[in-house]
Amino acid sequence: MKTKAIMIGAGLANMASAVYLIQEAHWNGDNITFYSLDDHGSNDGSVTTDQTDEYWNKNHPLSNTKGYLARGGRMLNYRTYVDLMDLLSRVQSVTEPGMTAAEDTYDFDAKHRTYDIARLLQGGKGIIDGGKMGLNNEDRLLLTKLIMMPDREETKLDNVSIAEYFKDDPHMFQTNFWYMWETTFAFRTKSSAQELRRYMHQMIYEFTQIEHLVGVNRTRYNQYESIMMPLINYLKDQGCHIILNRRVTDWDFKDTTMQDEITVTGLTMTNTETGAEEHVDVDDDTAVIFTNGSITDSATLGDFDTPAPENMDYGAAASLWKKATEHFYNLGNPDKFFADRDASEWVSFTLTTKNHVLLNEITRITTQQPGNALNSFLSTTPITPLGQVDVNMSIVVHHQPHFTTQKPNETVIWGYFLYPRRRGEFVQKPYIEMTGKEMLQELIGQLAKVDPGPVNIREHEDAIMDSVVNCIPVYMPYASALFNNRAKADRPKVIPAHSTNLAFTGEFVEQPYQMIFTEQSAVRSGEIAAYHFAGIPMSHLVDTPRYDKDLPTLMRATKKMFS
Amino acid sequence: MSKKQFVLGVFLGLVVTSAAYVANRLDLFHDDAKDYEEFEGR
Ligand SMILES: Cc1cc2nc3c(=O)[nH]c(=O)nc-3n(C[C@H](O)[C@H](O)[C@H](O)COP(=O)(O)OP(=O)(O)OC[C@H]3O[C@@H](n4cnc5c(N)ncnc54)[C@H](O)[C@@H]3O)c2cc1C
Repeated sequence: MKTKAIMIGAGLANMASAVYLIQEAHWNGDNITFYSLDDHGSNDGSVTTDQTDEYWNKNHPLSNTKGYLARGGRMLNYRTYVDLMDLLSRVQSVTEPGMTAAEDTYDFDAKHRTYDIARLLQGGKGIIDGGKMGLNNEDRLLLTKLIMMPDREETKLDNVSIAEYFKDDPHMFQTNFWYMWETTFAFRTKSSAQELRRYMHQMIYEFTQIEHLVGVNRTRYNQYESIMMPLINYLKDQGCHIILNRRVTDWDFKDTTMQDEITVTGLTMTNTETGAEEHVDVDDDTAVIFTNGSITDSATLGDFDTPAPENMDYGAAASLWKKATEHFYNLGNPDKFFADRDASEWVSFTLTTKNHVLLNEITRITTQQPGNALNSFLSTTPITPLGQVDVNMSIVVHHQPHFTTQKPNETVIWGYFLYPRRRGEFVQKPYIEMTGKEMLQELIGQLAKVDPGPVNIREHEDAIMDSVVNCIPVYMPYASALFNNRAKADRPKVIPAHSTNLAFTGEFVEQPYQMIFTEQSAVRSGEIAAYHFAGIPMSHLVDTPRYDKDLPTLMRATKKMFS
Repeated sequence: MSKKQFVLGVFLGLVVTSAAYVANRLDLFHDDAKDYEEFEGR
């Protein structure tokens, strides 16, 4: 058992770990110190100027720093996010007095239920009935095999990509099921079939209602204000030390004769404000809890007139993880996730306008209210290497306001391109090379193709362009890295064998059953690390529901496959 | 045993066997808590 902790990374996973150490193990907050580049990790959301000076962006100054920025448009799922909701019930909301962060989210969500009615749109057809999954018998068989594959056989899918799993069944990639699944969860065809199996298990309940996204729950505001701020405020009140602008670059490990005992004795870091190198000793009473991968590491920003540049950095988290794997054989293979950008990269954009012209046009075309949707636009011509149609881009129109400081006349919309090297349909260049303005032109083009009229959105293009405050493109080289094709042994366990004081947390760790790319799995990994070092039995972990073993749910999923 | 009873027996046998197969494939009786024992042991 330990009495102090050093957290490398101040993202959701490690903040969760700290909350559980304080509340369940009754540690003094003063004994917990974070070292991190920033205090939000992947869970961001702020005015643009708050992020322009941060580590990954400060060498790429923007000429337009107005408007808002959130690199992701987040969806939660109460049914499966049990650890996240438990965590949020332990801290106070920063925007709703008298409510915990969980009550805040339940309250908002109950009043703004998700019911998507324009999940898929396609030129010439308008809104498509996504309820018709479009699966054939071969698709059904292969999906059923995934659902029937028990956890213990998961290694059969070691190093099998989704493209390989369905190699004899290219039809799968032409189904409404696939268009919705890939864009809801950000799976690419190069992603891991093993992870797809986990999703088919943990998200099986949502499989039955995927076209309406009724299982999707949302926070009142962006993730930083609704999730991270409550945690940060709580931890600071408890006396935790959150030291930012530090990039932890190397380890000292104890020398042992067998060379397999993992004991951290020191950390080297760079103060990114001063450039100075610093060293911290780690004593025997201290646990080191390390988030060994971040999907927003190396992410860069552009603006309305500038594309986001490419930053080739391996990432702060992954670089340090790699250093650890040079010492020990059982800590996984970071290259699987961080050396294949072609499998992991995507670009997103956050658009801020000073009036609601575009918002009203989207509402008219999609026939739904802001806050309820993820709209994906299907191409009308083949765009994949298999010569198939696929989704060009997707948008999330948030409930407005999405930021506490957003003015009533302003609108904020988020969108993303899952395959950033594909070329635009209306702007003749790859999405990754587009400015914020060009991304908006692409969006208007896609909306114009599905516009039921009588007055096409094109007629309002000038007014929309005039309304723009800013549109920030974000290049995230590792956005889907956590889904990269992998073997089970490629990720370290939360508590690796022979570790005396080092735990791994976040989205690049191996833990039972959990699917990743979820705030849920990040929180659970932190909880496991906390319980381990505090000597709390794992039976006290929040109970995980298993819908994949629930026969009525399975029956409904089977029926859905035939829709 | 009548032919009817025989057919019924075979049918029930098939139902039970397939139910057992599905239960096994779905790990219906697996205790999830066991998956965490390794973390506790360390
Ligand atoms: C575009 C996008 C969309 C998303 N959509 C959803 C969604 O719909 N639903 C959902 O549930 N989740 C979603 N997520 C995922 C969610 O944001 C993550 O699950 C969660 O933030 C992961 O938390 P974490 O603590 O593991 O890692 P992070 O949030 O990445 O935090 C880790 C932090 O630690 C820092 N760090 C690590 N090592 C070092 C080091 N050596 N030195 C200094 N700092 C270090 C990193 O730089 C990073 O800032 C999305 C994420 C993105 C980016």
